[in-house]
Amino acid sequence: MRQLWSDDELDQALAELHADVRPNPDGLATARERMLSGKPVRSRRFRRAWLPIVAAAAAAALVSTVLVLLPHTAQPAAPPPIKAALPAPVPVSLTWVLNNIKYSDPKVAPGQFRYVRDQVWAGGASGDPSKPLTDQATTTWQPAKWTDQWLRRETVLGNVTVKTDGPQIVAAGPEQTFSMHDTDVRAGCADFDSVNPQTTGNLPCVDQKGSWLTPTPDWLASLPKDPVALAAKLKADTPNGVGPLYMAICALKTGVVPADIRLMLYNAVTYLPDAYGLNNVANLDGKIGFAIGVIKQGVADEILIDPGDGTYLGERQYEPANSSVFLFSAMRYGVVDKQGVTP
Amino acid sequence: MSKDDTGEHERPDPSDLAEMFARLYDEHAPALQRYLTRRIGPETADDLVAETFLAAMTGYGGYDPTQPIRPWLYGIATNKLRRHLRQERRRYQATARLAARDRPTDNHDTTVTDRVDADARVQALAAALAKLSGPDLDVLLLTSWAGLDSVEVSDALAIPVGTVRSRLHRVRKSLRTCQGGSDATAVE
Repeated sequence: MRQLWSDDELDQALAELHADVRPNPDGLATARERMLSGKPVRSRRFRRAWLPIVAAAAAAALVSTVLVLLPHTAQPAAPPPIKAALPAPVPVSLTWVLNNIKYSDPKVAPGQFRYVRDQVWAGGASGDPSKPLTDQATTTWQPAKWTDQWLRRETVLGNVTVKTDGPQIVAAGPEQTFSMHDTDVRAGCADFDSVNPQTTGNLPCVDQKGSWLTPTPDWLASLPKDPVALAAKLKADTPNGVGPLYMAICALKTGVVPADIRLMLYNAVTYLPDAYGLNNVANLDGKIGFAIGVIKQGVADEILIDPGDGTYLGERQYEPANSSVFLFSAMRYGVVDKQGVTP
Repeated sequence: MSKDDTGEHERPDPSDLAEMFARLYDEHAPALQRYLTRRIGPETADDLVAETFLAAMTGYGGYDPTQPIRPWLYGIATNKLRRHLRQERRRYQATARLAARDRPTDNHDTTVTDRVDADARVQALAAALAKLSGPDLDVLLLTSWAGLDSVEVSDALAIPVGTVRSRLHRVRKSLRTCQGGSDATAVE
């Protein structure tokens, strides 16, 4: 058989093959927790049987290592601050929820940055309420102009055991905090996965493709404008084994979904099977809002919404029957004049 | 852990091991995760990242601190990846089938035609990779996807650098001529 491709064509094909397969957004934090704890951890949201990955001998060897290592990486922190008693969530109709949300977006002037912080207790739960969740935060400083440089900072804060307290989710005890370095990534167009073209084969901005995990302005504009069609797309794009709201939440937590599409998205999720509405639901910061949730296989998956401006407040994923908490989060937003600073 | 003047990592005190690995993780895990995700998919990649660093921590005593750390980590990951060779091949086969299904049949627009040709090459490449041996895949993809040079691949796989270069030349030649690939680009 004669030669069909040049070296350049082969390199181009190599660069493109599987370049669009994105790593799990919180996979690194989960793997890091696993490395430092030596415990197998079920991937978030994937309700599949956990297959032990660490051989017993390795695990046994690691236990002795971890016993030595943990004092250098983790310390018990002060007890969590006592928060005022939270109101109890109240079931409300989905129509009532949708009719009582106002929508607006903040103004970000040229030279300013939108501050978006997603703090989440997640991973490591495996359904046992006594097992701690990893407390981690992803913060982005988003320029006014999409193609300017973004900063993403990932922080692993510690371990916290979580429980349901009636209808609310609360920490069951003091958090064990970690002293770890933040991971900063800078990229134009929020194209953080292409900052190393040699590895990814993608050029930042140029080869960027939008998705639920990495929404871009063009991709957002291409979404169906009809809530039924958008709900169908959500269902079609959701892989088996992940929560029904996973894709919507992935997009919302980036902070780049504008008000008109948030409105459409909240409408769309009400068309998912077994959707329900709640009022007076607190996020991890204790901020109160609405929730639109879906129950699947006994697990409640909820999007929390600020009724004042329609922003996404966070998420809750838990199993009411046994008080297990898989995931709990809070978003913080602001506008700042410099990357790396907090509003 | 810090790098010395030669860019190599100094051996830390045992009490610093955890902090050192936290920093090592920050430095190398994102790229390793992206590399493994392309080879084996996101879910298994996360498992392998964790396994790699666990193995690195528990086996740190066997690490030669005069050697660069990156080939050592990718060598561990490559060993872990070998257990999943069948799964990796199935992914390439699936990619080849999906690419064939999604490809438009007729279009006279030049840009679209170029895109179709490029997609056909990706499809043929995926089909060809599904037929490569594990060691050939390792040399090719450590070089192309992980960005390791021949010396680093040699360190990672514990084979002579000459073997790396000759294997890489042979694999690339076979892919350019599609000897191991699909019939999608075969010509008379």
